[in-house]
Amino acid sequence: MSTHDRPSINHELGSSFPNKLRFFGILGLVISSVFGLFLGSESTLLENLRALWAGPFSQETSTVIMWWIRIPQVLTTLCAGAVLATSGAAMQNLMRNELADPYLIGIAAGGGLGAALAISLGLVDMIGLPSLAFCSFLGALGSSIWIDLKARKLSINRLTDDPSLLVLTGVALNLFLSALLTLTIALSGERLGSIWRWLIGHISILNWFELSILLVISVISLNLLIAQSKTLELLANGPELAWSLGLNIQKVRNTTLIACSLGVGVVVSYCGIIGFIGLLIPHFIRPLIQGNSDKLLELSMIFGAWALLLCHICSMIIPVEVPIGVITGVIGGATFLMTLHRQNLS
Amino acid sequence: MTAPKSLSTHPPFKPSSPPILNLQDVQAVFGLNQRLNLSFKAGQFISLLGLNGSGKSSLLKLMSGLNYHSGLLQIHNQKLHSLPALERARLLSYLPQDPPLSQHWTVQELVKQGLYPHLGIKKSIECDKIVHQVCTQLHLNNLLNRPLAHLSGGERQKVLVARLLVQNTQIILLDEPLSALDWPKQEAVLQILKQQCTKNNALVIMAIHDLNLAALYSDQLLILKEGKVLAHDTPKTLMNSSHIENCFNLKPLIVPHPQHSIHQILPWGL
Repeated sequence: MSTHDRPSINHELGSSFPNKLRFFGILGLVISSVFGLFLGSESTLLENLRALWAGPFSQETSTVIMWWIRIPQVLTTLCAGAVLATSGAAMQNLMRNELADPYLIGIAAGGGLGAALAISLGLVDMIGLPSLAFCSFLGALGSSIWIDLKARKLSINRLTDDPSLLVLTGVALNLFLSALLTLTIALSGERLGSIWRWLIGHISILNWFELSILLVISVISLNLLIAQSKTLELLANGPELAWSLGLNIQKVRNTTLIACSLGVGVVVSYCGIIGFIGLLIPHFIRPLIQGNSDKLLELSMIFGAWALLLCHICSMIIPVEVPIGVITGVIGGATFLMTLHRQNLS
Repeated sequence: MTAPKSLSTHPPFKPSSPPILNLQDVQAVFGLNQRLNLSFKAGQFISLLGLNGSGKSSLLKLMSGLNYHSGLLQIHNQKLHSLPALERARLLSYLPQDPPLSQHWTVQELVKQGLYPHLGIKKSIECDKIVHQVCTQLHLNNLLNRPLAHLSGGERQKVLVARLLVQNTQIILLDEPLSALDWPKQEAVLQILKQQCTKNNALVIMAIHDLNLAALYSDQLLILKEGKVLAHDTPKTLMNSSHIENCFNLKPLIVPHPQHSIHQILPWGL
């Protein structure tokens, strides 16, 4: 019976279900954002609102905290969550493997290495902060291009690639780059404590200039990815079927890799390496939107932003200062294992 | 040896009207050990036969534009690789053998995927009509909202054929589309494909292992052996010939079909 009652459920849900999910996600996002802005301060709601109203250039302490700490942190979290989850979903479709996520296959490590090199070679001091994001992007792009080339070279035909091979290549690359990253940090003689914290992933307090770089690049990257959600969806069924439908596979591939590298690169350069979001969110969304696969990227974006924001709120509630990467690891890992366990049982 | 007369005396098949799929001196990347010269015209139903690994799939892949190395590969007198990808997809469709499918998809989504090359060109009402018609023909209407993970192998194959028919091209290439179907459905799918040839003037090229079905439904059989074309002729001549024995290394037990003038092959048994 279990296989037969499913269609009717799906039929009732129809195409309106993803819309409800989207509404629910956005609602949660807004409520959590407000919560994140007002959390942790001694002042009342009214004072918080007044601080918000006063604008960024007021000298009052509560206003400064609101405009130069809280708002940037929330915006950074939203960008990072959205970019990581959407890139994860896109990479999973591109590589036809639910394990693919920018963190696991070395794109984030590439970005991290780029950023670490930029710091240790003194580029950031010479040229300024944008070079950090740029080097990080180059690192991320380099590693994603390398994976793509390697996988294509290893496959017999240029269009039929083995999805597990891609992920294996990525995992090996990730280990290699992570080792190089550690080496760079060890050699550079920076203060180890702060760099380790960066490596684990944390939401730093960005100034508005850095924040605007992050915002603009995230929006570009998300736009590129979501504009392709329809075509990426076609790739999920293998390159041969996609070819038969007249899809320009190489173009989709290139755009996706560049967009992912762009977004992940800039997020890594500011927030370090935050794991699990890219793996987890698409995994949860996918079974919920059966029959509407093209909504995966969009919903991953919304729920990724929300999930990371919730983790950020958690990290603020906990009295000890814990990097957000640890929280996503603990909560994400535990939920993921639980879901997998339940899926195996059913 | 009571093998029928060898075919080497027959002239090779030459279509009179211009071919819509034309291969001249074409070389494949893998799977075929020969430069190929083949041409097929509209309205034909061609079956590719041969042992496992004889190059059937490689040939189909080559004709779809994948696995192409060099030579002249034309559809409708235009080089296949110079056509824009979407335009090519409106002329030629290809169903690989056992393609990887995303398990979370529903049947409806996969079938509607076939509309992709026509989006924005055909009216959506027309598209819906095709989808509805194909799903009714293949009795898929009660499966439409089921996820692919919950389908049997045969149902999955039917869904893939439906996707191909929705794509609605004149050249249709299929790689063993019947291998998981029960025998009534094998004939049903063959009848639908045959209709595409007779009514829509389509060219259907299909790899198949069932010699008898191939002989009954095809206009021509193309027999491959070790990556080379062994014979290319009508079923009537080929089913009588020594080519079957040559190709399969087994002497067939040939009997006449009670209703058609085409011979059939029976299993030997113990």
